[in-house]
Amino acid sequence: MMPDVRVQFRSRPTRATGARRYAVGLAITLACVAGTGCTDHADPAYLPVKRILGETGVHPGQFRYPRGMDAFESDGRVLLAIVDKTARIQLIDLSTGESIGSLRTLKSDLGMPTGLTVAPFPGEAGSPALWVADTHNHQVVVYRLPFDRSGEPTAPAFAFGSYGHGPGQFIYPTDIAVHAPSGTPEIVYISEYGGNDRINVFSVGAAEDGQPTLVFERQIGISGVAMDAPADDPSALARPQSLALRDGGRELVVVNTGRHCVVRFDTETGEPIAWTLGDAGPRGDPAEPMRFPYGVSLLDDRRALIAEFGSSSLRVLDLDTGRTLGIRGRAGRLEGELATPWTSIVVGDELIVLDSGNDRVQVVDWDEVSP
Amino acid sequence: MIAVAPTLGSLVVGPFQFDMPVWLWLIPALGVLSWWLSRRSLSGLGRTSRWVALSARVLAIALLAAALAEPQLREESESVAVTVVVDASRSIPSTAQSRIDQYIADAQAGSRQPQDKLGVVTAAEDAYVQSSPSTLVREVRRQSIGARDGTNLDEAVRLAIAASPDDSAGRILLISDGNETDGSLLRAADQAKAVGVPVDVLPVEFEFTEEVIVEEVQSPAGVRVGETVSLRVVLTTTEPVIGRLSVRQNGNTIDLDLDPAQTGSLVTLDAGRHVLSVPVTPTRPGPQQYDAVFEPLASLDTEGNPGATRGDSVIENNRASAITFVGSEGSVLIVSETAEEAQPLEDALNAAEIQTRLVTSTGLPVTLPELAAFEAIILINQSAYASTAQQQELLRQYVHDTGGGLVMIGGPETFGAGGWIGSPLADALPIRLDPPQKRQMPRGALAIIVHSVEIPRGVFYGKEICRAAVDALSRLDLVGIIEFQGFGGTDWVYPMSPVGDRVAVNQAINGLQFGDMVSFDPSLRLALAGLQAAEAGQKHCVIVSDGDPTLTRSILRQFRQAGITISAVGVNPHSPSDLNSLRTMANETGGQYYTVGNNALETLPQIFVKEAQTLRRALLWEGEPFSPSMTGIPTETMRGIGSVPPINGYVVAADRDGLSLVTLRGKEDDPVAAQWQHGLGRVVTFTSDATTRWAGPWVGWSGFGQFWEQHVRWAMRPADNATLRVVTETRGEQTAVIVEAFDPEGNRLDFARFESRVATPDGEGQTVEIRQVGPGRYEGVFDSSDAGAYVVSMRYRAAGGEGQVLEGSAQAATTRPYADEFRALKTNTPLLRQVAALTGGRVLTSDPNQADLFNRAGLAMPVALTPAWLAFLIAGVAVFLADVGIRRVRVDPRAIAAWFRRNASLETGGSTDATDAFKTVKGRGAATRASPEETRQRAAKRYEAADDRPASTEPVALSGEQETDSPLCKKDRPKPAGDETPTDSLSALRAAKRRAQDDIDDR
Repeated sequence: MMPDVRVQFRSRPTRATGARRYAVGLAITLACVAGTGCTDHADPAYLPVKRILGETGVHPGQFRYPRGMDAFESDGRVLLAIVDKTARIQLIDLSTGESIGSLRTLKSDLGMPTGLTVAPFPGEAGSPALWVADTHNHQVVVYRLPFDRSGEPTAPAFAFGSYGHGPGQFIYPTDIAVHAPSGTPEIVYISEYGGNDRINVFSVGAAEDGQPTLVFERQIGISGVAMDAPADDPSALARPQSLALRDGGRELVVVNTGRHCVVRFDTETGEPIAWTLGDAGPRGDPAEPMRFPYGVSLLDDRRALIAEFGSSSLRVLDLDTGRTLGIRGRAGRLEGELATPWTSIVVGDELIVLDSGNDRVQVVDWDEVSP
Repeated sequence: MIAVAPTLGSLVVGPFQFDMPVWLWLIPALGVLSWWLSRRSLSGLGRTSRWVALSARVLAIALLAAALAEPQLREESESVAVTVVVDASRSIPSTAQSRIDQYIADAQAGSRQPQDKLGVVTAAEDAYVQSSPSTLVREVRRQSIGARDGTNLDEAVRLAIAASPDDSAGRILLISDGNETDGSLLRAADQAKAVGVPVDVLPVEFEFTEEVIVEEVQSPAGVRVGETVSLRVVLTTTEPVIGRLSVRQNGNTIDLDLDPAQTGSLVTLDAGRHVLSVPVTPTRPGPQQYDAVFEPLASLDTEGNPGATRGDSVIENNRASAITFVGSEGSVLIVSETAEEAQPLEDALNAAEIQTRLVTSTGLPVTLPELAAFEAIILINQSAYASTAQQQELLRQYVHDTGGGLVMIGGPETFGAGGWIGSPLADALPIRLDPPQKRQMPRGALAIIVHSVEIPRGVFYGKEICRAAVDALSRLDLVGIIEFQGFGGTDWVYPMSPVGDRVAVNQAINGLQFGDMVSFDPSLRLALAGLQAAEAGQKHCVIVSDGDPTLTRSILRQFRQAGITISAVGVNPHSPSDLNSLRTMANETGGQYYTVGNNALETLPQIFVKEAQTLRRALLWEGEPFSPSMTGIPTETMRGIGSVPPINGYVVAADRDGLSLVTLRGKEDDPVAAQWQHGLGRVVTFTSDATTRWAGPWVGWSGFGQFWEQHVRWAMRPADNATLRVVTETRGEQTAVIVEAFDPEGNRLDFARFESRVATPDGEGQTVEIRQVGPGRYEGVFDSSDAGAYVVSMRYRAAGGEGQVLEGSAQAATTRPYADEFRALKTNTPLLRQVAALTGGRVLTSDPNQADLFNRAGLAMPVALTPAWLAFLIAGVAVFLADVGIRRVRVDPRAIAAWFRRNASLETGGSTDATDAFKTVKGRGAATRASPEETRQRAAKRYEAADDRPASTEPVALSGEQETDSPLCKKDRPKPAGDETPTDSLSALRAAKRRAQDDIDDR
């Protein structure tokens, strides 16, 4: 039961209502104590929050509709890289919520980035970089990590991509998955929407003039929007919003947002392996299907954590069976409630949810909510 | 610690507050009672036990009484929230603004504790929260400040009070020059004082030593064409200065200098107030606006030599304007999209010697003075979307406040069918544009889908367009609004239902969130289902979006199959390709496609009006020709007209309550011709047309000219038959209208009754009370504090000679070219000091290190209260149980020790088998169990143990189960008096009764 904290100035109850309230309160309390418990913790949809990072605003440590998040370790502490709708990328200390650095992408008049991934810098093993899907500028920009700037527009260390429908061109890139088996990026997968609705696959080539080069290799998926493909065509994509690599890079997990499903693609052949709406429970029983799934992160090689924009909740999927292992979180503004989350990750024993609609990050003990 | 808490009647004891402390009186009352009762009931206990038991009982009573007294756990906040109100108006130079920001950044670091919060509110024409108070805010980050041509410190301080969080003690720091142009800072300070928020002030010191202000331009209110008049330009200078004065007439510069290269006149001014005269000659009738601009060139030293400085500090206050009305014969403006449509009417009016000017809707004047140059305006078949909402409002003002006439003539594009329902002008018309209740009209259904409008003030425009669309519908039409709301996804914000009185739908519009939808499909599916289920003749869907959600084409096919059109409005797309899906929607369903950039946002509502209008074709009646019936009401407009020719079409409307007169009626008594007075002006509506489309026989009708001349002349602003001289005079924030009235013989006109209104820049208008202040002299005053043009219109009636009534009208205008923001020459420090003194705040210096921004002195820290009655209740019950235990349970340590010793010996010498041991104890229990009779006897002897009783060798004896040979039972009790020894309770009662009776008998 949430603590009943009242402000000091309030109307005084009558004696009769006060007595009734006491009686009812006592009865409820006894019932709660006698029962299974009276806290929201009993509700599986409730997220028992350990701490909340950020609030609405434009100051360091505040967010205005954050839309992309990833984590990395630096100097013994875990930092979150978060981009919000002011084109600002902040590095947030996971343990304190302190913003230790921020920068803005150079261009933001047409729109802001919506996705980012921490991966090695091309050609430099062990050199972390932030790959940012600069969505509305039709490109991917890469910044070196960490940075301690104070919010000024900053040129990336490396940028690539151009607007267009052609091979390797972008309309609205949304997310990046980097395959770096030996510590340096070899294959880069970039999802996009806005008409192309596909995954562009690039190989990382040799540096030219000190700048890395990305060579377009092939396309995965077809645009379900442009082609108006049948609903059961798993390769038809409608706003693929995020990506994750699985099975040592042999599989690409794609969140096909517009079609409310998750698709596994074979990265070699580009063919879909399986797809799921998440409408089956752990024992094959019916489960609530996904509604506009947005973010995907792998918990292990079999389970994926999905942030659902449409239902303001999180879902754990068994990627092998396509079954929903559990749904956590519910829509709302209070602690432990979510509003249109864009992504979520598990770092160590903590679940970190980018609660976009509430302009905050909620941190939860993963063991308490893991299905 | 006991203290009376700030709440009325509550009591604070340590960390607890009792909201119903009256219950605490139970503690002494029941405490004393318990003590009194304990003298008998606890008399069997030893001294120590008795006091312990009594204390426990009193404590239990105290806890239970405290639980009833509504205890609250008090947690006092240690946080201070400082909201800085920064004056961001133009009166604070930009260099000072950056210094202010730096001051705040430095000052907040001084006495700030980790839990302290900082927030920022800016004050200009409007106040905006830049940062809500937060522990994370450490500097000023300015976002939207709004217009800076005014200062409303009142609103800003109130906003700062509202923004102060409940869990912190609030302070406000006001950084300003103290010069306010709107509101009252002192009123806001009163409010701050009332809620206990001290306002610290930091005066932004400035004083313009070199300044030139053009105070005003004076011109006669009315002149004739070709008459040379003298403009009087009033300037104030603080230091001698040389500069160039230029004057523009209706935007065209008047050449005042002989030098062909220059147009302005070179003038040298000493410090002080100056009046410069400029002769001008108006060459055309109508209102003439004169703008005077002084351009400073250099300051002058004491010997008249140019100095190094410009001699001026604020450039914005170097201009002023005046408007003069140049008299002419009355003329009428005809607005029609085609000359052919207006031709018959124009010919008829010209034949009646009424001057006309024909324009299309794009030529409709955009300022009130321009409109006021015409005596009447005729709108022929004009749709609402052909003019902006601002122009429609001007037309309403033109009629209501300036006394102009309006004649609105029908056609398929106008009245209710033209989107005028709900427009500003609709209120000025003598008919209601909604169809009459009794008419069974085919109705339309409109589904509106709104997507996140990612433009500046996107939410504002989003709501405006929805309102505009809904307002343009009739009350019978169906409307539904769909949006993505985050929680729960896409849904109807307003389910498809009749527009009705618009209250419910407007509430729904106010709650729109403009969520960022991912896909169009759910919205379109909802809209399709809603429209298909709607009982309506015409069904239409309008969608506004930046175009980036995904779209499945199959759903468009379903729209097409259902005969439902979609119009799509693309607003500020991220890239041009985003609009493809919107274009596709419109093309595939037969709807319209619009694209709107940031620079044309004002057109958005009009687009929706036009879209809504597509449903309103049902308001057109077209059929077999018939002659409208004459109502027979004697009016000036129908004088001499006995019958009218047939018409074969009109726009259906309804009668309006009030003073409107319907002179011609159509089918089912629909009004065709109607008229009324609206404010100072008159309005005529004719819902059929003036062409061969619907009124073919009219054009060739002999009475056509008479009909329209009488209607237009009735509507036209009346001509003067007396002479008025009108002058306006600016007096601070007010303007006085001074009228001198003469009759046709040139004698001063007394006892005239004036009806006057002024059209103000904000569109509201004011009534001006004009009173006679001398022979033939009248005066009225109105507020003119906002920058912009003020047009004063007046009608008068007075008694002339021989029973004649003199009546007429006049106009005057004045302007305030710049806000008072630019009139202040120095900081208003006294006001700021007064605010600080009133609220208990401080006057800070410009040294941030001495600011002590988060000063806690005198602040009432807020308290959070958590109900604690349950804890008290549980504790009370626990103590009560302990009380029972003390009274009923005796613990003898020696007996316990003996028990342990015996057990130890049993274990040593006996069996170690646990079952055996259990049986042993059980057998002993059986052996020692007493008979019921013995038990009753023991019960009567309970609490009779003496402190000096011998040590027992047995285990703890529970009351009611002690052994008969226990030392606790050894003490003999005196036998009751009487012959019979009571053996049971009934016998005892009988014995007691007998003894009592004996006592009575003895007495």
